Amino acid sequence: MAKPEPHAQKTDFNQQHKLSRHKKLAWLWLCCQLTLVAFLTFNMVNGLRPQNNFLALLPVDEQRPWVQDTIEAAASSLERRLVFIIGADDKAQAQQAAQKWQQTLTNIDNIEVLSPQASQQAYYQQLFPYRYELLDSQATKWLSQQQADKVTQRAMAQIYNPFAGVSAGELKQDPWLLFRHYMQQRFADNRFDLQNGLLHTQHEHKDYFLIQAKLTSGAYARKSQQVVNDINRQASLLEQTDKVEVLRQGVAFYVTAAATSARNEISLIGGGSLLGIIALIILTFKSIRPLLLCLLSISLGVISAASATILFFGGIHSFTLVIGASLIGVSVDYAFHYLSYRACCNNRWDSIKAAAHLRPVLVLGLASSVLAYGALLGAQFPGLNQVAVFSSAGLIASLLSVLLFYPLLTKTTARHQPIPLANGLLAAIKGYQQSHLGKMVLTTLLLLSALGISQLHFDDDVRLLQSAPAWLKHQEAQISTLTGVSQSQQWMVLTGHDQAQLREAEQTLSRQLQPLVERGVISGFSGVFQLLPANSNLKHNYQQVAKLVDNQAQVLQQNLGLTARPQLPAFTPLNWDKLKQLAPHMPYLWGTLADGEAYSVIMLTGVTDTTPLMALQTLRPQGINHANSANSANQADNPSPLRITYVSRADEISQLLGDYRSDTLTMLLIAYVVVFIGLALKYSAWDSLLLLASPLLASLFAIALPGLFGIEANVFNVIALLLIFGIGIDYSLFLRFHLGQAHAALAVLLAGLTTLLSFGLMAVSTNHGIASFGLTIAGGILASWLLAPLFSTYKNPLQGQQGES
Amino acid sequence: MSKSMLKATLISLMAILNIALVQLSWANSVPAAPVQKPTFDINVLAQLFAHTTRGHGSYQQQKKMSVLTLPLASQGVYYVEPGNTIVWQQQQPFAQTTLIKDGALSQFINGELQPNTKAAGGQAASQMIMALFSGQWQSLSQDFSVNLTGNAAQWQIKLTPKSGPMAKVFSAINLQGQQQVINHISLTEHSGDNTQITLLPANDSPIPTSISRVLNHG
Repeated sequence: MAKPEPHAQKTDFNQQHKLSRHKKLAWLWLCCQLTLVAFLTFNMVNGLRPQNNFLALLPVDEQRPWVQDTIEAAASSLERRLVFIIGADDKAQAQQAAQKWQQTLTNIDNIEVLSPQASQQAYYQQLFPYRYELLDSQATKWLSQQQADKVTQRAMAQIYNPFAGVSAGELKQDPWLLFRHYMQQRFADNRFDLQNGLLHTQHEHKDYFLIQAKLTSGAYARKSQQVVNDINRQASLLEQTDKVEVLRQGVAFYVTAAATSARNEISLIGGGSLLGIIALIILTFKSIRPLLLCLLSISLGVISAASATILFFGGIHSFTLVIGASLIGVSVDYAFHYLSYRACCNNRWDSIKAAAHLRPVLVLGLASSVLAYGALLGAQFPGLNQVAVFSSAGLIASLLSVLLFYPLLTKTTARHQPIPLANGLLAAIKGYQQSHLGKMVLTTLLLLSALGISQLHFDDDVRLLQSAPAWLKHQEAQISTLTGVSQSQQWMVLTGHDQAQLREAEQTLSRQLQPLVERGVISGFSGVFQLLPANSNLKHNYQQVAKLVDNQAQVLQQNLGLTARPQLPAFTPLNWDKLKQLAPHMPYLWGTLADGEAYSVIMLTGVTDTTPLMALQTLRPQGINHANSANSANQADNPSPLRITYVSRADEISQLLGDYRSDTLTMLLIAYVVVFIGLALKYSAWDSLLLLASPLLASLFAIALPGLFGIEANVFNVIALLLIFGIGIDYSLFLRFHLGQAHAALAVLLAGLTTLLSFGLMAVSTNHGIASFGLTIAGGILASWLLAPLFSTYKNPLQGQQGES
Repeated sequence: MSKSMLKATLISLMAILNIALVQLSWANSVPAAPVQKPTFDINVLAQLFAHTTRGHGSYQQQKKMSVLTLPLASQGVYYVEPGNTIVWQQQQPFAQTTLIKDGALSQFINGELQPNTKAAGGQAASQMIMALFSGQWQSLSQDFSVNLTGNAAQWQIKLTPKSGPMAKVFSAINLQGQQQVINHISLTEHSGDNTQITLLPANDSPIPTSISRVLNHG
């Protein structure tokens, strides 16, 4: 064996050194990945599952923490409730099915059927002690007009009336029968009526029975989703066997539907992309090793993406996973560049050198994509922040895996070399560049972009981004029509020291709201104070009743022959600790916040103008201050100020989405300018322009798509432009600086196909936001793909030369 | 909460449904041919009632309650059209009228419709009263056990509330009658308080004008 030359020896030593350093890094990276796998496994074993809470995607109201707390408290008080209405043309049929349904629900675990009797009983038990303080409006009127005798007369009539069913017990405790009249009035507008233990109503010649139930665990718990699936199955069964309709309403139905569609979409996007990749690799490289390598870098990308998201956010939302599933199609790009390079290299294959050769361009490509995703970190939307972290981490990990593992696993040359394919492709691109087809494509895209953009309309309503099946929304609307109770999105939120304080404030507030109803600013308002008035009001009633007892006790005693003269019991202020048992039975929102403060919500309907409502926020009525000072001794240590806030969270968030949309556009413009200057400094202004032309025009085409299809555009279409920028620049860079190199053409083709597939599949999502995102990116990628070759041929007229190649 | 208060609560809960516990009798304006069948049961009796078109008469009521020194006595007139209309008009010691029509219950004092009474009972209560007045006790079998003794000429029905809110208040409801006529109703509460109603049909006499007025306006 010949003795190696000293120079060769040095090179060899260098090589050896590089190889061992590379190996060390690869081992280190492997350890990192194994740690992440352990971390993920640990989390999953401990019950970590994708979140489905739509609220978790939305920005938190940081300026008004009390509003945020109230929204969360109200949401958690609502999330377990389930409402069913069984309807049929025939009453007996509906009733029979309703009884069956009640039985079915009782047999399902983790669910509790609320009996209407129990509900009514709870009302009576909790409120009866306050019978001398709660008055119906007729009694209030008579007593204020010194017509106490009419109250006595009314009671007498009932006592004699055999249909009124007054018993000795009632007569003894409430001789003027005040409580029954109060309750009758409060429930007079109930559209449902107790019949044989079921709540019944009629509407448009159909009979309906209402059944209420409660989940024993929160709507987002896995257990609850199983329960809901079970309920849905049983409901379809009942609908078939009994020929009735089973209307359903409840947060859990939405959560389960969202979870199911997210799961399906993740499988579709992820699985579809994966199948596409496998097919492409088998067709192109005709070998098993590239396939295994791709699967390796994709999996490591996904593992890192999930781990990073969990590390940063403590969990992962199914929304992130749906968008994140496209990571598979994007992260495989790096693998394609490497594998194409390897496959097209026919002599002197050195895997370490190959990786080093590709590294600068790949890192540049990664940087542009990560910057594009990273821009989402600036959004105030946790959902988008998660997507940013997930995708960036996934891309970085994929590239690192390609650069570190591939060279060690591909020391030999490729078994199958698709050089004819690559060369053919290159020839096709060159042909396309020189043909008229290119100019026609450019002209068509420009025309379509102009047309689409002229038709473009933005709708930032956040509700569009919530994926809910149409049947569920329809049923919710039907139930609202039947019950007359609908959850309004416009609230006056009150927080304060205790419920008693809030009732006083509501009393004052209602006097301010009433004129707004008359002026048409709102069509109505409702709150717990309508059932349970403020103490000052109760005290006033009590004083009226005291006069009634003074004036009429003797009359009543004599007329009826009562053994004892009616006495006035002592005044009892409402006991909110006990009354909170009623909250689950009420259509009103009130309770205690996590920090112990009291909250309540006045729901507003038919809001036409928010300005007068905002003005109410500064309301500091005397009555409220008075109530405060009365309790000031108790709350001196930690006073919770009374806050009245107009809240229309959906509108506020939609507004934020709109703002974020225009911010993103500005950010995008700045990004283009900065990158233009950067590239111009490095190459030339002309080069820079040509490099940016394709992503820019592709973006214009992509944003025009919703306009062309007549769909409302939203923030997600604009966010997608960031990625088109990031990915499109990639194509330009590769085609411009590796033009003439067959491997680049092959890699860009493969990468484009998988990216197109991933985002194209996303366009079928039931979530309008995700679908918009997918549609825009897919359109943009397709356009950049068609445009990039056109701009990589134009020569700088001044230099008359191309940058590299 | 004390036991008595709990009871009071339950009683008020049932306020309107109690209506159903009061029964009347009325005579047949078109006397049915006496059907003699070997067995006399609830269906046979119901058949007799089914042939009734309408009836009216006067009543006397005595309500005995532990909190009262003397029973409350009242009297008045009534009118019944089975399955359709009931007018119960008290005349002594003061005037008041209850009208059940089209599944709704309304109450008048001095000719004035009382607020809230209409919504209070709802369909359920009115349907229940209607069932009792129409002899359709079978339809109430979900909440009552029904026991018939005697024969068509002299029968007695014992309705024992077995479930539902009624059972919590009343221990027994007894009806006595002859053919399709109810003569006497007695309602007994668990506490021992009771209400006795005696009905005197007067189908041959003209319908009292006070009732016609309600029928024409109601």
